[in-house]
This record gives sequence, structure tokens and C-alpha cells, in this order.
Amino acid sequence: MLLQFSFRWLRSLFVPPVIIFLVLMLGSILGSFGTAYYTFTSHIRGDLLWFENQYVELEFPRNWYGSSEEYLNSTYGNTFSAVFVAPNVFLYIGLTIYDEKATQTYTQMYNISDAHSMVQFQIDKTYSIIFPSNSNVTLVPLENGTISVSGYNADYSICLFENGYTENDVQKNVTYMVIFYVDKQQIVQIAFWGDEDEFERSYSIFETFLYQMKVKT
Amino acid sequence: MKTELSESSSLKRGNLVHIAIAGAIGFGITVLLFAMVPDGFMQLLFNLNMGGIIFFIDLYQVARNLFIFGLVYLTGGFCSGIYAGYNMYSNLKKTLFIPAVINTVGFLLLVTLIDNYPVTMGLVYLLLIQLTGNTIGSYLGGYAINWGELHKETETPEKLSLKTRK
Repeated sequence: MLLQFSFRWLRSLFVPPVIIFLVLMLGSILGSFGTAYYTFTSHIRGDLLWFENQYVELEFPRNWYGSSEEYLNSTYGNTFSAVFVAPNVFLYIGLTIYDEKATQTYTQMYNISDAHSMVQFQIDKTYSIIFPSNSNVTLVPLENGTISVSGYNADYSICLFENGYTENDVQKNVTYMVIFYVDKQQIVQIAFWGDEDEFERSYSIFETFLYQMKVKT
Repeated sequence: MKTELSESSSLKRGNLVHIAIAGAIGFGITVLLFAMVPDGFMQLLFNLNMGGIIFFIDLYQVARNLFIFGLVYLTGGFCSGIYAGYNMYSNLKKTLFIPAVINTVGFLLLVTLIDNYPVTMGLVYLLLIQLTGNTIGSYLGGYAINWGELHKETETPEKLSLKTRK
């Protein structure tokens, strides 16, 4: 009797508008996952996701959080920026590519034209951004040199921000690496952030990323 | 005559109150679901080990908006429609659109004034998607709750005529 009642109740629940609502809802969810899956399958290469546009060609792990933006400005020039964050290790990668006009604006604005000066300028700038919100931070220069990026010799500098960030009320040190090179009057800027404790691990991931990246200058 | 007029005006006032409550219910459910569903979608993608597709922002936005359309806007509209349909039997065709508009405008004001969302073409698309979802949901909810009554209404004249023939 109770079973019969429940079935009757269920039957009265599934009237055409409810069925249409459920079909629309499930259709939207399926469409959403269909689009996500199509995006995934059309960009997967082995175990990595592949991206290409007029500025760069790069590959990154499928579980990384990434976002990109192209800033178009007819007066100051165009730039392309991309950031990547790894979910299971403290790793942040930032990439900015300036077009000729944007490079001209950059060099005129800061009065610097060589990659080495740009590296130093960027480190000072980053320190001055962190310092007001965290007065305990100390900048420790670690290493300067050149590195091959997309077939070009780029200038880099690695430094340590002691007490760079706070996690669970514990201040931690952050390793920061800045890479710059100028090719065909276009600046390419790459930044890497990693936790000092896990530096080796995160740096090897970053190296793989860097090795696979091709900048189209 | 006087009594009829006063009854109809009080009914209209009552309907307006129900419409406003229906809009508020839809708005509340939309806000509640919107706080969970977009993050849930992202979390789901990361759990499926394909969170990297967020980088392909145009396609990701399509997938995300479809997900939000189905789970947030349709559902919010459906709930407000159920309330409106349960409390107002007459003029469903005309009245069910209003809770959807209240819901959409309320949400738009929330994101622009409180959340400081920039007024861009993206917001216009968001508005259109939400209005469509809320309207469809509202009508489906309103008609779902009255389906039995509406069905009876359409069946009654035939049954009556059969009885009279007998």
C-alpha cells in the first residue's frame, strides 16, 4: 500500500514541466562537461596541455592552474601575459612578452635598455612591492648569470626573500628568479617563485617548462 | 460592485506581494548556489585532473556558463516559479516573468554595486544568460506546480459533454 502510494506520488511529480526542467539541467551539465572535455582532448599532448598563439608556444601539466591575458593598447603597445600555479608544490611562473611598441615604452619609461639592468630593476621593483605589506622581508641576492630560453641567451638573477610570506603564522623564505632577454626589439620577461625548502623540486619543474617553451619574437 | 472592485484590487496587491516573495526566493537561491557552483565546477575539473583547461579561457567560460546556467539560474528560476505558481493560479503566463526579472536585476545590482564587477559586455552576456535561465525556470516551476489543475481544466469540458450525451 505504502509502495503504491510512493509510486503514485512519484508519478505525480514527473509532470512534463519537471521533466523539461530536468532535461534542460542535465543537458546544460552534459554540454558543459562536453565542452570541457573537447577543450581538454584538443589540447592534450601526451600528459601535457599544449598552447600556441602569436607570441608563444608552450606546454604545461594538465593539473596546473593557468591564465593568460593579452593587453592591447595602441599608445603604449601590446603585451601578452601568462601565469601558472602548480597545485601540489609552491611554484608560480609568470611570463610577459612585449611587442616592439611596448618594449619602446618600457625602455623609455624606466630608462633601461639591456637585459641585465632589466633583471636588477625587476628585483628591486618586486622588493619594493613586498616591503610595505611585510616589513620583515630581507632581500638576499644568490646568483646571476645567463640561461638559454627559446634558443636565446637570457640574463637571470636568483634571490631569496627571507620571511617573504607567512603560512600558518610561520614566516617562510621564498626563492625568486627573474629572466629577461631582448630579441628583435621585443622584451621577454619570465619570473619564477618557489619555496626555499622545496626549491630543487620546483626548480626542476620550472626548467622543464622553460625548456619546452618557444617564444615567437 | 464595490465589493468586487475591492476584492480584485486586494487580490492584485496579494499577487504583487507573492511575486516579490517569489523573486526574493529566486534571488536568494541564485546567490546561495552562485557562491558554491562556480568553485565546485573548478574543483571538479581539478579532481578530474584537467584543471589546466582554465588556461583556454574562452572555451572554459563556455563550459562554466553552461554549468552555471543549468545548476544556478534554471534552479533559482524554478524555485521562484514553484512559489509563484503555488500562490497565484491566475495569469501565470504574464506573472511568471516578473520574479525572473526581479531575480536577475537583484543579482545584477549585487555583483555591480557590492562586488564591484565591472560593467562590460561580459556583464551583458551574464545578464542575458541569467534572465533566460531564470525565465525558463520560473515558467517551468509555475506550470509544474499547477499542472494537475491545468490538466483537469482542459479535460473537464469533454467529460461533461460525454456525460450529457449519455
